[in-house]
Amino acid sequence: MIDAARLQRLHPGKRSTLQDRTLLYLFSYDVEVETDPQTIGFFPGGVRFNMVARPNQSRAYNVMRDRTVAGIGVPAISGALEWGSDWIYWREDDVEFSQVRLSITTDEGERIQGYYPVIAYLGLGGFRRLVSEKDKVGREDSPVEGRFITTPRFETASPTYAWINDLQCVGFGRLQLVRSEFRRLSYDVYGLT
Amino acid sequence: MIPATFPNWGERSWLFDKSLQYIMSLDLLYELPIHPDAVVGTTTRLPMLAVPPPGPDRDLADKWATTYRTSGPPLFRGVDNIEREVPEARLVRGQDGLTLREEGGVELDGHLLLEVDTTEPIVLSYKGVLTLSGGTMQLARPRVPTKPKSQLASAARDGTTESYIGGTAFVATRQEVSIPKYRWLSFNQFIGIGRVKAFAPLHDDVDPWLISMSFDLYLGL
Repeated sequence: MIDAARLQRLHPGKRSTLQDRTLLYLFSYDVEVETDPQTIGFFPGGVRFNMVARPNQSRAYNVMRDRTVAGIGVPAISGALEWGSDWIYWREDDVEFSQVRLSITTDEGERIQGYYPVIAYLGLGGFRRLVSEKDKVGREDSPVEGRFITTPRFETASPTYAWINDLQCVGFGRLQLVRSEFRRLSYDVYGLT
Repeated sequence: MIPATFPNWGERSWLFDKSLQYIMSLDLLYELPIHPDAVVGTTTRLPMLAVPPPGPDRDLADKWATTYRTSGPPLFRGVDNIEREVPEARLVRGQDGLTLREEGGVELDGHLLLEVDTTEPIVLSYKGVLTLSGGTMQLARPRVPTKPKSQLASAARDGTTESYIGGTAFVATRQEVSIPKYRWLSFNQFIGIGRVKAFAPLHDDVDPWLISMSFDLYLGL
């Protein structure tokens, strides 16, 4: 049993300053989404559907075309997004929860797996607008664009890219909606250091 | 035909705008008992329990809280220019299931129950990574390792000094709230940037490690 005085002494007290932080650019990836989502349907509280990436049209790359990650000197990631899926749940309270899993095959043939949850606010009345058959959001000639943030983690058994296993990442992305369906996504992935 | 303007399809040569906006800070103290049987395959799983901050009397609440703003009133103004209340919450209970791996950092998976000035609680969960100077497997050893001086820092507070191993932790949080004024927390995922102090047991055989974590939570934009 630890004495209360020690617990009190070691408990962090309120700070008045913020911690230092750095975002380390790692790579970017673009995803072209299959136009035919797998609709699971309406559940109490919302609707579920799954999307998958078009494997031959989705890539991971470094926007600066650098061969190493600036700042830490490890090999940069470049390759094909071989497989990716997003299991989406749009809730009636206008919040989206989804689970993304993806697999990148680098140009050298190494595999990197990624996964992350997405939580997004669909806007006031967003759920009804998105599931409505009448007013689909976005057209082919003028898609609706949006921003979103993700918090991916990556795993690989490759010694070349093992540095990514211990990083918590942040993805700053843009998406494109056509007829209320996701068509394209593009992210920049940063490591928190 | 999808226009090629978004996002310059093919391969971009520019980065998207990005920013992190400070929401609040989150302070936690965990007890990590030593579990000799915790090794599962190549990983080691260690459950640890959160210790509520001192209080809840008013005097102590000014010094300790689980969530708070580092300065100014507990308000957050987003890009929509709407002011939202930030909870000054206190931990009721919480746990974290650490996963240690020989080759790298610790995976964090925490679940917290927080109380505020209303009857309904706030549920905050997080996942992320923790890295300690000198390696995280030190936490799994039944005996306190002999630490080189370079790995130790000294903590002096209230006149008492204790050794600790320093480190960093980065997490992604998720909140579930039914309180209307804090409902906005449920719509967002925050990014936590934290510093860690792992206080070694004073007596090897009976004491747990004490893991102190202090995060700043940001909203990505």
